[in-house]
Amino acid sequence: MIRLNNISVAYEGGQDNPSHQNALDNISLTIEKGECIVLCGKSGCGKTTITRLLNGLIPMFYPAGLQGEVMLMGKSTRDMTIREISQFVGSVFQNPKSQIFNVDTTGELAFGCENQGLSRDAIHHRLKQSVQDFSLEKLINRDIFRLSGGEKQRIACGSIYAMNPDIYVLDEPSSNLDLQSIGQLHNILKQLKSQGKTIIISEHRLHYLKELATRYIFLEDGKILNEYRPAELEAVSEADKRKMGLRTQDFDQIDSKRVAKQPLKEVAMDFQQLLVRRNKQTILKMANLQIRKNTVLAIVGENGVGKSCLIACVMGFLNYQGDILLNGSKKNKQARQAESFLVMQDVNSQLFARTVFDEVLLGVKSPDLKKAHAILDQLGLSALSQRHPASLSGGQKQRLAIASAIYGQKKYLFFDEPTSGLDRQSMEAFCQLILENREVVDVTVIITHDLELILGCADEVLLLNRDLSIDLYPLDEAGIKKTRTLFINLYEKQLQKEGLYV
Amino acid sequence: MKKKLSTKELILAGAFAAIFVVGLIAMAVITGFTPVTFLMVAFLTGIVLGPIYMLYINKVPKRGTILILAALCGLVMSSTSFYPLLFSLLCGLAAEVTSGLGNFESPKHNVLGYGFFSSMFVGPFLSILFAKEAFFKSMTQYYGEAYVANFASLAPEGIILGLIISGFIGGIIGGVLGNKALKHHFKRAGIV
Amino acid sequence: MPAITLQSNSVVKIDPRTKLVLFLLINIMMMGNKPVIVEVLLAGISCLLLLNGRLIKETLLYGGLFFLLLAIDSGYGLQVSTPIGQGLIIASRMIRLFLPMVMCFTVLMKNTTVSEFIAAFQKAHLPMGFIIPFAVMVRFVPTVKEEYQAIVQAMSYRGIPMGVKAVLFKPFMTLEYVMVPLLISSAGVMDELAAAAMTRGLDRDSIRSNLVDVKLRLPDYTLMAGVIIIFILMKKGWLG
Repeated sequence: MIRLNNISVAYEGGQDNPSHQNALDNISLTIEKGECIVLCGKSGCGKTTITRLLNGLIPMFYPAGLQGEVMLMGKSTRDMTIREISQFVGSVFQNPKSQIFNVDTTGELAFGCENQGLSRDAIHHRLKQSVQDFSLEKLINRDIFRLSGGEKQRIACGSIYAMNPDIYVLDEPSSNLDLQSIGQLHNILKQLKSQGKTIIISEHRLHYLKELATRYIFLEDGKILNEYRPAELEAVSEADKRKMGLRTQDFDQIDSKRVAKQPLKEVAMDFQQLLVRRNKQTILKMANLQIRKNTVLAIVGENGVGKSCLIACVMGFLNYQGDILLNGSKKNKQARQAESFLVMQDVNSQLFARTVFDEVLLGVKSPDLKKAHAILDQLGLSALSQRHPASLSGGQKQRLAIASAIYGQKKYLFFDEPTSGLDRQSMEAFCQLILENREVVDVTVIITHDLELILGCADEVLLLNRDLSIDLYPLDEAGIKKTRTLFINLYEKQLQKEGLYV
Repeated sequence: MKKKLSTKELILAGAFAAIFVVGLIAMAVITGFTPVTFLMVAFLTGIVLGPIYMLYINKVPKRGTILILAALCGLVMSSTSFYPLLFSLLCGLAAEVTSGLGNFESPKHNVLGYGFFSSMFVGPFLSILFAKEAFFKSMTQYYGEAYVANFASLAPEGIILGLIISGFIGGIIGGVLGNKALKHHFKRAGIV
Repeated sequence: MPAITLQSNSVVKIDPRTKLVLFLLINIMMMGNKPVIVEVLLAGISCLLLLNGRLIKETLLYGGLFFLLLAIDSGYGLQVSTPIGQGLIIASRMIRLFLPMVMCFTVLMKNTTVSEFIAAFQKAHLPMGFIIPFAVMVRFVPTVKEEYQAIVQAMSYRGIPMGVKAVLFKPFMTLEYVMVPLLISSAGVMDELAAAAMTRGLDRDSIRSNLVDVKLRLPDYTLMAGVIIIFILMKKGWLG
């Protein structure tokens, strides 16, 4: 069905980061109809490049040097336009926000069919099918900008399903999703597989693909190193998986490195009778909560439950009733912002300077050059100090943000989904960084769905529930068990629903 | 490279137009607060939107790129009459020709082209000018000729030409800024 | 299962072309010399459109503002003799002049979906070279606003001054701090958007259909006729 023959791909890099090495180096791969192939490996191994070859984005959309032939159902992609390929290859991307072309869900579902030139009746029929098969009843006729990431991803899948392709290509589709949505994604893939569709997924997160994959293709530096049948991959030890850069397949297997319990320190963050309302509805309520100094706090909960709101309140971006005391005093917005730092999921919106070095110095009067150099050194960024911040990789940008925070002597560090798209190494490096800097800042707060991250570096967990109840508990033996169970349940619950969405 | 704008390039054109138009409306609103600043709308807008324009033409250095942007901006400014749209298309055409002389890739030609382009930012002013006409007519009903003449003196005929020139100069400055942004940021970040 | 209905949330479906035509006609008429009753009628039509689009907040805001300003003007227009008072009257008149336009523009932006625009333009046989950029522009504007807000937030805790002082004394630096992240971040999003659209078959050279049925129906003709009749009556001086 699909055949890659001796493919080599070379990207053209940016001015600051010219990469002359091949993204893919003479690989060959055959995929049969009905298979579910999982491409895995560290970041930059070439899995995304393969997905781009399959939908024609390379070489027609992303200019890259391509050698070799990509044969789809007997025809070479060189002889087809992206549109022609889209008739039988559907593509789902990482970022739900930027995939959507319309402002309303129904229009978005119909978009692909319209591009194919189908008649109105045919489109109606296809849409009905999509809505039924993916349980999208509650999502039609709505404003796209009001949907959650998971809901947007389901609409994207529905839109492609309506085009009825034989092959589905997904590039890290779970990256920006919470556990519930990942469960729903699993259900969708299960449906597709049962219909005999051919699926190719490039992924870091492997746990939701366990019963779906027929083959795992492991890549490194643009070469296919190994192929695994599902049982073979599960047999690989956790330690070896680490070396390969693969995330865990089994929540029970996650190793939690516990650091020695520290003596109780003074309270750094105190929430008293906190109440946040929007449109006459209460979205967040915290009667009495204290976070102690030098704690790493993980905030978990479903999407939309108020995690980002909480951070916005502390940083003074959102109005609230009640009191938030930082190190014992109520500070005004300016003071809080001066002492806080937020690393967002999309770091691009917070990079301002011309060089990495300038970025660290930014915002602080009377620059201390030596200190800045030292901090960059500590975080492994010295070699990059004259590069443009936006030319760095995702993990490097994060380290740059942390460097800026430390240099600026920030007391409160906030992270919003820092590891969603990261491979194992990067995630563990992040944990390392957090632990190393735990005593440097007063409080570290991380919003995350990533169980491995939580067990890797958090001291306490704050769970926010939809019914506005909250639960703060330490990650001791009991706490770890509790968190594991919570996550496993959240995920399994979705699988049992078999396509029914509540 | 094919001469016609590809599908991808059309989509990029729309996205850049969105950024451009949001900036344009923001500038019109901000400068519109006092009459003095509103007279500077073309000049200031030319400067502020320069980096957007220069990134755009560098990403899609082809015939038609500028004209599409000019058309979309013209539409946005043309709420009260067709003149802003026509004028925008004219400025866009001048910019196309100028940039075209440098094959759309020469920084100097692009800056000059943007100068012509940004002359169109008198559009919001034209709107108010037409509104003023409407006023004067209704004010004459209430207050009489002399009073109206007083107000009219605040906006002499030649002012339009002065504004257009100020737009041009703002464009030159904005274009130079844009080129600097390209050099220090966009090219090094790898987005061009 | 609810029927898959068409997009914009209106009580009565109005063709986007009608909205555009009304937008232009109402503007032109507001800018010209007109008796008060014409203003009221046009503002009334604009309010009707807003209500039709279930934009109740906007109807109350803009409509209320319009009639408030009108009431003030009719009652006190002649009495005020101080320069400040006159200045305010003039300002209020200017605002009143633009309100119907703002109302119609809101109807266009908030009450019309991208699919409706595309369908209307395709029916009007406009070239894809225009339709695609226009549609993308409409869809991308909210994204730009979101990006901008994120950047301003980041500036506040990065210690980058953003207030009036910064704009006045260090305009170029402030511009750089806002524009650069905005453009770099948007460049990424637009590439992804283009890839997602093209891998779903969007192509400037291919014929595409539309789910939305864009047809001029009775409500459209009624509205347009109504506005044109007002125009004619006004010109003939029958409305005072």
